[in-house]
Amino acid sequence: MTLLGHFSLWAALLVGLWGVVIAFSGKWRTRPDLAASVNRSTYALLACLLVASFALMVGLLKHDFNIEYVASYTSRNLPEYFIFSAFWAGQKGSLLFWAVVLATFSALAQFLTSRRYADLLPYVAGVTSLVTVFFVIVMLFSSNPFERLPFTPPDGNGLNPQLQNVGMIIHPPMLYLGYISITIPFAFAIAALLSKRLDTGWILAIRKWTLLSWLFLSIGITLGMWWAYVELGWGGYWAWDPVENASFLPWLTMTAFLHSVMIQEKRGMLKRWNLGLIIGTFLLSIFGTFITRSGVISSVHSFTQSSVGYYFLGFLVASAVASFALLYLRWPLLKPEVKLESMLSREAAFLFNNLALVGIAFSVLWGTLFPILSEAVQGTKVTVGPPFFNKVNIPLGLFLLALTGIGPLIAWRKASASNLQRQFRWPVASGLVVLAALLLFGMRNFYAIVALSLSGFVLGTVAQEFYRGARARHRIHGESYLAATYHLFGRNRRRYGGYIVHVAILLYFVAFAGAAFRVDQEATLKPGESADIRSPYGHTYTLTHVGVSQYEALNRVVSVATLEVARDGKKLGLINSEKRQHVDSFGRPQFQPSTEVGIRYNLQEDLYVVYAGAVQGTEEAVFRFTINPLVVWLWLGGVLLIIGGITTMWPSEAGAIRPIPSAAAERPEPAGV
Amino acid sequence: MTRRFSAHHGLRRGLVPLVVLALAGALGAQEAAPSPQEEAGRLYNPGAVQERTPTVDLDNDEYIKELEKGLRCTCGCNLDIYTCRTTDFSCATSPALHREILALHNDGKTAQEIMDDFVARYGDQVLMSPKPEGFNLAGYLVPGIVMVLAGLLLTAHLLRKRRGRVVVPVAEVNSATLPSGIEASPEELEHLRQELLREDL
Repeated sequence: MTLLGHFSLWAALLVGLWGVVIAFSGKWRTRPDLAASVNRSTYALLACLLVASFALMVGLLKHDFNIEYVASYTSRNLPEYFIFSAFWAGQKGSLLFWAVVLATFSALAQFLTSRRYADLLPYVAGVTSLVTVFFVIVMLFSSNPFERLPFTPPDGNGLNPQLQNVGMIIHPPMLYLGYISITIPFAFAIAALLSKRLDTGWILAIRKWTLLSWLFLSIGITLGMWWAYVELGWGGYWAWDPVENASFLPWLTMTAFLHSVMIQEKRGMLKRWNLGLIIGTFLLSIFGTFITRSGVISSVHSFTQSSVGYYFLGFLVASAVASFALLYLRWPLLKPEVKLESMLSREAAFLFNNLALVGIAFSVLWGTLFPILSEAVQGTKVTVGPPFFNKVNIPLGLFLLALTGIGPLIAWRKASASNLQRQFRWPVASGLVVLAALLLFGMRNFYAIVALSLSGFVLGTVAQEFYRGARARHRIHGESYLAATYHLFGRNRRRYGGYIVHVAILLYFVAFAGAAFRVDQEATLKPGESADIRSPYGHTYTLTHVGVSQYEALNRVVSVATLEVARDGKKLGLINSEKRQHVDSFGRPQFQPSTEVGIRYNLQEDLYVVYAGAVQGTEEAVFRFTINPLVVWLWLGGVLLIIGGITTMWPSEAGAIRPIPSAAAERPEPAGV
Repeated sequence: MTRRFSAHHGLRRGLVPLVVLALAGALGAQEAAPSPQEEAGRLYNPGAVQERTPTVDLDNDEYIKELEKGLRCTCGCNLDIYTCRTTDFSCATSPALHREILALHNDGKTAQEIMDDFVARYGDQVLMSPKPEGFNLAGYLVPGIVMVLAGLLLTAHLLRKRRGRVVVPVAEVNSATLPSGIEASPEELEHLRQELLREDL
C-alpha cells in the first residue's frame, strides 16, 4: 500500500504540473483541446490523491505499524472511529488530507461553475493545481505519510487522549475545509486579474464558495471552542493562542469581504479592496498553516516542529509577491464605477465595518507576531497573551457589534434624517430598555453592559426588519404573519439568512459578556463532604462528593468522581467528572491522565466540574467548580449561525439579485492595460 | 466556600469511627481517633489518577488568582499559571510555580514584588503581557494608531470624493421632483423602486 501511496503522490505531482504549465502558458486560448486538458487535469489530480488517501486509510485500518505515521498516531486498541480522525491528527496525514480536499474542491469548481465563466476556468485550474502541487511537493520531499520504519513495532503510540473526543473528529476537518475552500475564491480572483475580466462576474461566480468557506471556518472555530471547553477542563473556550488566532484571521477578512462584496455588486465600488481582501484571506490561511507547522511561535496546538515551516514560508512569500504584483498591474482597470455619495449611507457603514474587521485582524496578527518582532529588535522574547488581546480587541468588537445593527438599516447612497429616525427609533429603544434593565438589576461591568445593550439594539434591528417585511406581505398578499415571514426567506434568502447570522453573532457576544462574571473555586472533599459555590445570579449550589468508582474500558482506565448537586437546598441530580488513563494494547499507561468534565447547563449558566486528582490514592478528591454564566448561548449561536449560513447559500425563489444599474455603471470599462 | 458533612452520608460514615472509638475505649487503648485521611477509601487503581495535594485557602484567593493570570507558566504551554494549573491538571510546572507564589506571598511580598521576582528569575517572557515601556510600547500603540489613521484616511478619502456632488437623499427622491444634476434617469429610478420592492418583499 505504501508503494501505491508513493506512486499516487508522484503521479499527482506530474499531473498537477501539467495543469499548471498549460494553464499559465496561455496556449489554451487558441487551443480548445488544451483548455479541456487543463480542466481534465483537475479530475486526474483528484483521482491520484484519492488513491493516495485510500492507501493511507488502508494502512491505518490494517494497523500497518511499519508505516511511521500509522505507528505514531494509532494503536491496536484505538476505537475505529478515532482511526479515521488519525488521518488528519498528525502533520503528514493532515497534509494529504489538505491536498485531497483541495483537489476535490478544484474539481467541483470546474464541474459546477457556469460555462459563462469558461474563460476563467483554465486559470482557476492552474491556481488550484499550483497550490495542490505545493502540498504534494511538501509531502514528497519533507513530510511523507508513507514513510516506512526500519522495523515493525508490535503496537503504535496511540492517539493523544485529548484528540479522542467527538469534537476532534469534526473540528479539524471543518477548519481545514474552511482554510482549503478559500483557495477557490482566490483562484477566481487571480483568474479575473490574469484574464482582465474584472467586472462583477468573478464575484458572482464565487459567491457560494465564499459563503461556504466562511461557514466552514465559523463551524470549525466554534467546534474548536466547544472542544476546548468540554475537553481541556479549564472552563474557558478561547485563550488567544497563536493557532486559535491563525484560524480567526482569515475568518475576519472573509467576513469583511462578504460585506464589502455587496457594495461591489450593488454599486460597482471597492473592486480593488475586494481583490485585496480575497488575496489577503488566502495568504492568511497559508500563514495559519505556517504558524501551526513551523514551530516559529509556541502553541499548545502546534504539530511537531519540522522543516515544512520553511516550505510554507517560501510559498507564503512567493504567493504574496505574485498576487499583489498582479493586482498592482491591473490597478488602473479597477476604478470604481460610482463614488460614495454620503457618509450617512450603507456603503459608508459597510466601509467602517470593514475597517473594524480588518483592524481586529491587524491587531490579532500584530499581537501574534510581536514576540518574534520583539526578539528581533530587543533580543528578548516577550509574551503577548489574553490581557493584551482583550484590551485591544474588546472595544473594536463592540464597535463592530454596533455596526452589525446600523449597516442593514441605513439606506444605500444617502440616508435622510427622516430615514434615520424611522429606521433606528425602535432598535435604539430596545437597546436602551436592555441598558436600563441591566443597571436596575445592579450590573456594573462596563464592557458587559455595553455588549448586552448593543445586543439588544441589534436584536431590535433584526426584529424590525422581519416585522416590516412580514407586515408588507401581509398587507399586499393577505398572508398570515407566519406565512409572510416564511415567504420572506423564499424571496431573499441571502438577506434574511444574513439577519439570522447577525442574531447568531449577537448571541456570541452575549456569551462573551457572561464570561465577565465567571466564578471558580477549588475544593478537596472526602466522600460525604460538601462544598458551596455561589452563582453570580445569587443562588448557591451545594456539591456533595458521593465517591469515586473505577473501571476499565477498551483503551483506558476510567476513574469517575460523582457529586450530588443541589441548588438552594433543592436536589438537582448527579454530576460526573472523569479521569482517563489511556493504556496500550499491553495495558501499559500511555500519555498523562486526561479529564472529562462534568457540565450541568441551562440558559442562565453552566455548572462545570473537574475532577482534578486524588489525595494519596484515596477517594478524597480535589475538584474545581466553575460557574460559567451564559455559555450555552455560544453553542446556540453556533447552531443559529449554521442555519443562517445555509439559508444564505440556498437558492432564492426570486433568482439571482441583479446589481442596481446606474448611469456610471453603464459606462464602458476603460481600455485594458 | 464552606466545607461540611452532609446529613445522610455524614451520619452513615460517621458511625464507623464512633464504633472503632468505642471498641478502642473498651479495650483501654490510648490511640487517637482516625484522621480524616484514613476515612476516605483507597482507590482500586491509584496510578490512574493524578496525585494532588489538598486545597488550601490561598488556592481560592482572588488576589492570588489575578496575580497568576498575569504570569506565564514556564512549561511551554503559552498559558498563564492559573489557567495552566487548572487545565487538565497534568502540568507539573504550574503547581510548583503556584507554590512559589504562595511562598512569596506568605513572606509578605506585594504583587509587584512577586512579579519582579519572577521576571528576575525567568525573564520578561514570564509576563503575560509585555511591560509598556521601550519597544514594547509599539506593541500596545501600533494597532490603535493604525486604526485611527486608517479611519481618518478613509473618512478624508470619502469626503474628498464626494465634494462637489449634488446628492438627494434616497427617501426624498421621486421622479416628479427630481432636481437637476442627479445621475439617474426616470427609468433607472423606476428600476430601483422595483428592485427595492423585490428585496423587501
